[in-house]
Amino acid sequence: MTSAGARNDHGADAADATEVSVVIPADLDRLALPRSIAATLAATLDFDIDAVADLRIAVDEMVSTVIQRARSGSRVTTLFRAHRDCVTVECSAASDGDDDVDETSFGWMVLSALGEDVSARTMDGVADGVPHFSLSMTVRPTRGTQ
Amino acid sequence: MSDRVDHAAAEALFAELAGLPEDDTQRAVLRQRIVVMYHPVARRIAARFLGRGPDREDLEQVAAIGLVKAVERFDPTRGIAFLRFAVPTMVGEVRRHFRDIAWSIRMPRRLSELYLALNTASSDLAQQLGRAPTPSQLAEHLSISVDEVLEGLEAGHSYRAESLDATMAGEDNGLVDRLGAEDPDFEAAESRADLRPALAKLPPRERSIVVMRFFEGMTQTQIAARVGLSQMQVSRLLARSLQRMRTALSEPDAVPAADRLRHRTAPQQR
Repeated sequence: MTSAGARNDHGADAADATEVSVVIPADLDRLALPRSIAATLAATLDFDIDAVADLRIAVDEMVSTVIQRARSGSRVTTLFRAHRDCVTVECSAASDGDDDVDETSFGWMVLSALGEDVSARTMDGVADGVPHFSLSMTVRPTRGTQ
Repeated sequence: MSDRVDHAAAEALFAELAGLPEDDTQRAVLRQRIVVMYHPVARRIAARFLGRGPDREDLEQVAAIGLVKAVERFDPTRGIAFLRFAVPTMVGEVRRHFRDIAWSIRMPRRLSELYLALNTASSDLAQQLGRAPTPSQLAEHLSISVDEVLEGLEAGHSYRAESLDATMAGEDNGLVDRLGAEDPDFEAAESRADLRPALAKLPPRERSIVVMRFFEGMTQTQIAARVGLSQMQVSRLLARSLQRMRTALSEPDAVPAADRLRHRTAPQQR
């Protein structure tokens, strides 16, 4: 029940982007795969090792949060978009729809410390018509900030 | 292997327990008696997981921790039998243990050497550059390929590297003193009453690292320099601490869904 794929995005506005998506069962025991894809991707982009580790932790936190809200038996999709100077991550799963996110929670605080543009939303799925909860954020290398 | 638990006697103890005020010192004594009564059940649960790595003693201890939690959390007024509540709690505790130690397999020698070399190199380069190095800088510094760097970085997360860390200089000696001298901003963290119990569950070193990263906005490399660890060690400790805090913060959810309603929060054990 695990699948991963990579492709180059030839969209006009994202010519430099590579996309990787990974689909896992909504089970906290399955975090290892999205986590190591995150680290490998950031390292491949030659982000500094602080940013590599930050992305890894961020994905851990995002996927865990989404899993906790996912319908039982559903699957969690994590989509990575790698640009030259940042990686955006979006993690989503079918949920029960009551997805109020507490932006004062520790988890949110962790994500905000690790990256930018942290956002949460719930939308009806196109294919299945049930609500999908998703979290997204952007992580950049910390190069030159010290 | 019959369990010779006297369920009627246990029920009487639970009833007695329920009749005592929250702060009665007798509660601990009654709980202890119940734990002893059900200990054979914990042992049997532990036995079911034998032969998968951890030895019997470890497993029995972990199952017993689950039993203690079950006794603390059980609410007899909900009308379900204690065992129906306790068994999933104990099994859950053992499963969690397996998840925690799953990667404690010994790291192959080549990887452990790579890991140690990267630890040293990342500290050296950070000092030289004034910021965290990139994988390509590490590769150049060590005259190895970027792929090998990635492999070594991942190894630090995949294997339990504590024993390796223990052999590294500056790991623990004087660390507490150094941290004491430069206290991180615990006030910011302390103001979050909701986080206090979860933070309190972390060892002091991990707690400091979490506070420095998430409350003071320091980078992992800055933290590493301050506490005398490598960035890789800080990274691993951070990931592990957050995992622990997540578990602690979602503790009520650890109770089986059917029992979650009107469930009394277990008292803080510190």
